[in-house]
Amino acid sequence: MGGSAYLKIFLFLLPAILFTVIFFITPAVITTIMGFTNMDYRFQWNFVGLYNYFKMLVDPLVPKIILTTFVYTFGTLLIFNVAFGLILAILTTSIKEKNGIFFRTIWLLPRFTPPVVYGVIWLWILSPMKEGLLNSFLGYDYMPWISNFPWQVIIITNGFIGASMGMIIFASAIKSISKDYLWAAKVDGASWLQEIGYIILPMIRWPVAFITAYQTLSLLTSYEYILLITEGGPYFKSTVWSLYSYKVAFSSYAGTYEFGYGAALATVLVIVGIIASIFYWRIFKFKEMMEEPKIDVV
Amino acid sequence: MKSLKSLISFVLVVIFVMSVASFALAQEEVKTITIKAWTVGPDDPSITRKTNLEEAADRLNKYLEAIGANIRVKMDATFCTTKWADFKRSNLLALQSKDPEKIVDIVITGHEDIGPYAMADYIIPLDDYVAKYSEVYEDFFPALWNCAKFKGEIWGIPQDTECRITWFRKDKLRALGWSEEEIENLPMKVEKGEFILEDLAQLGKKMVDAGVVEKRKGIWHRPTPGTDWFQFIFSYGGEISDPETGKLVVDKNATLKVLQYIKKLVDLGVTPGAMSQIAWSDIHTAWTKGEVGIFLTGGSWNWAEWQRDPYNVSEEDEWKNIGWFPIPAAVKGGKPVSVSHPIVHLITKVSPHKDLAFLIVTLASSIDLNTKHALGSGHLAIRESQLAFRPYAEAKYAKEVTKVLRYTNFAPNHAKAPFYWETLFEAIAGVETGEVGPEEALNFWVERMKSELGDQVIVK
Amino acid sequence: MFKKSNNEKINRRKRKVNFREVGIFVFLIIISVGIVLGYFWLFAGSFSGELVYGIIPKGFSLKSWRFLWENPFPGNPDWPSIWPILFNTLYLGLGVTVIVVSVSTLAGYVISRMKFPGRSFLLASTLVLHAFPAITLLIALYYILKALNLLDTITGVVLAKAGFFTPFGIWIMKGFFDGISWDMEMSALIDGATRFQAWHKVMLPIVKPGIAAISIFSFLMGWSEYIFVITFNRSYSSWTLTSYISAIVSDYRFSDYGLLAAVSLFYMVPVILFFIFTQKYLMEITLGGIKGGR
Repeated sequence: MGGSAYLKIFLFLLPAILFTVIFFITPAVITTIMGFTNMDYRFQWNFVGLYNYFKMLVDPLVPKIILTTFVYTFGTLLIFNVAFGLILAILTTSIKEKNGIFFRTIWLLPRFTPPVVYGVIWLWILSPMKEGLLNSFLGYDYMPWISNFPWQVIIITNGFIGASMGMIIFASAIKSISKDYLWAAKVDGASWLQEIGYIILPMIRWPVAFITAYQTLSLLTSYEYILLITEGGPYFKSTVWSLYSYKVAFSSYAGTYEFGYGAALATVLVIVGIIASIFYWRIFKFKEMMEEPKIDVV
Repeated sequence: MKSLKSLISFVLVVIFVMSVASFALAQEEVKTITIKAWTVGPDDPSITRKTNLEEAADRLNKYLEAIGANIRVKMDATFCTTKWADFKRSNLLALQSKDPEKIVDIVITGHEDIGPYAMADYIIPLDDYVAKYSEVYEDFFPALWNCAKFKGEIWGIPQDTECRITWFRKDKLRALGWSEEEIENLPMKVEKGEFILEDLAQLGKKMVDAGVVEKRKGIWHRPTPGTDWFQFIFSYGGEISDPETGKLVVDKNATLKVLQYIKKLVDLGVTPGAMSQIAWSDIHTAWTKGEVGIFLTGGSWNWAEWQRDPYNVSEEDEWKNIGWFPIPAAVKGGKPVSVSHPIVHLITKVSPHKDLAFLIVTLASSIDLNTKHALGSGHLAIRESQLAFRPYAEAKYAKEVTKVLRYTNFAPNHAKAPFYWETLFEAIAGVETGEVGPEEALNFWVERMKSELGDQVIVK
Repeated sequence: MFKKSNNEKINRRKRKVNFREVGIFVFLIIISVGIVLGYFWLFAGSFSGELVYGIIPKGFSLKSWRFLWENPFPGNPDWPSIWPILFNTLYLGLGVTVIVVSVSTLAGYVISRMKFPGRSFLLASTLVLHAFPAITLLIALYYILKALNLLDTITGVVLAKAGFFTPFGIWIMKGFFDGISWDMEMSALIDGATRFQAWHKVMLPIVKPGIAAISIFSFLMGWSEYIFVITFNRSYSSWTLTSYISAIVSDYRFSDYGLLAAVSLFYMVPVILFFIFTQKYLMEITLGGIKGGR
């Protein structure tokens, strides 16, 4: 390929690169640098080296938060984003298409709802007083759901949102499987479960792998719904790393902003994310996805 | 020749007309200066914070016009109705840019911003300006200036104040068998130190036991962090800041007692452990419907709030069924306490019209405008003469509740004060939900304060 | 493996299939009932006079919908009308969609089809970027938008969100391009088309489903953006629906559940419409080449 070929490729990619560099990479780099300062509301770039990272090591909240983050991320991921997403995708594609679309729309509603309102709905469901939905149904006078089951609450509330992305992508992938395969299997006498196990699942393994990797990162960095529903309580029990980073930098009521420490916390999260991505890349052999292009001539 | 003459005269006429016209126009040419401000509610009734600035500008323009001056003032103020946190964050981002285009002249915000803003050089000290208008500012309640001072200088002009109090329902006391006289005397007993925190807890228990209120609805309190919680530390004889050094103080003994008190309220079945999960609107709804006996951490503004949508309690009903007193002392014979959170006007460092902005603030602090704000939004007077001003004097409630100001304190003007009251509430909520015991919560909190504040905190 | 094969078995299966379909349908209803309940509450609350707890609405009233034609907060005369704000939000949603779609299709095509050094690395890095939480980039983005003079504008948020979401779009579009057979493209090139023409006239129409797929997520990204708007855009003229809703649920005032419910429904309807409009295509997304069944 000649130099002009590379130039053309470059031009094709230029908008993407430009965008990502200006609005994503640059802020990311700035934030990482901020992690080495003790910047607070005064916005002064005072470099303090690794001080923030030492602070993390002695911060008494950190071990608790690590555990919570781990449980939350993998709990929600495996149960809801992947498993539930798969179940919903398979089920809604095994019935009449218009019914399938109906159910998929219902499961997308949480994602379409303004986060504040989603939080309000859940707070009503989980209200400790007897007027709350759960308590009304179960006949409880008083039951503080959020205090007693913080981990379950954050997994379930985020799970309802998370399941929909997997559901949509897997359902589409299933729909793209050439009908020939499925018909051949039917002719051969395969049961429905065998169809799923031998045809469908293997043929959608790339989307499943991608969603697993992508949503691991999504969950690691998500905190909005946790903030709205449990606020990280009770007493830090449902505080995940990203929520802690947010609170430290932008605390909830008054201006105790600690941008330096918050940025350092965020950087750690990114490093974990990068390690997770590399891990997934290897395990799922994403490299195989990169077919060599057959056409070199430009 | 004749045509040349007429041409010259024509030109002369034109020149004459034009100069007369421009002279006339110049007479009417008026210079307008725009003063910008950020104001906040977030509650709707506090919109008078904004409109008072606008009315002040109008008055100033009226006077300027009356004397034929060529200058006018235009007030460009925003009013934030969302959340304090969002308001402060936006302000901060703009202030740190030090860009005069993005920064206003006047900022109205809570007094706790004075410490951080002064240290970051975002605002200017106002002692000289105050001196220029001494006849106005000497009228302000002397104690009120304490909240606006930082390192000995004045940095803000108080805009309003309130006080935090404990509400109780008279109808519940009647149901317990109290006589009208006993009910009316209750606030006085609190002031004398005869009715203390322990008595309050027991009173809540009596209400629950007698079935006058449902279980766990004896005593409710605010579900969020706030300066209210300092009241209890003061009640137990603790302090939160050191006046000499300006540093924050952690009083372990007093704080432990506060945590134990909260635990006791839950153990007695008087307060739900999940109190911090109940939304404000649910609290007010339950209160105004008469389901709760005592509201521990209320504020003087609640009175006006309950009269409005959606609670719509009439003033008559309020006088009949709701009473108040400052937070009781912790030991017999002690003094009750209250806390106020005044709002202040600040003048920014980069403002190009500081004198004019300050004049607007002074005019906005006039007796009639400030009283309009106070009565409309449920705040209290900031000037002595307001007490004699007819609308305020005739507002029975305002007059009565102003008396609580005698016992009031302020949160310290320290940059980390918000961190103090936020983390303090973490401990309170933790103890209340039963996640952690009082001692453990105290120790953890002290660790957090020490690691965050370093030498800025003194631990007693 | 599937040894027994005869027509009888297939016919018997057809009857079983109906039974199974019903079973699945019922199961789906059971697990979805929670969601339906929650949204029914929302819907009912916006049309009835009083409904805080309790699912049964009491009386029909349009009071909660008054924000459509009048100021719902008479105490605050400056409260903005919802219509310009709706327009802003549409601009934000569509703006992000247009940018992400166009940028992703270009980049996705190149990464899928052409060989150049750093190809793998580029794709890997787009995944890794997703590890950066948007919120922490807030301060840095503030500086950048200020430098570009785009603070307090919708355009600024459009660009920021688009930059954020492009990596995801590239992954998806690459997957789609991968799924198209080489033959189609080869024949177009043999026929004398340039690479760009091949892309434009042959490939793009085939990957329309992929475009629709990214569209719904991009649109939602823009439509639902909260933290950037709330921080960078203070003035009413640059508000979006999320700021509007957040302002209703302010620190102290919030008690009008009906109004909140109505505004939420108003917020959700365009997104649902957009989804239904694109859903037909959403069903054929592919990642990494389903054909060939590796």
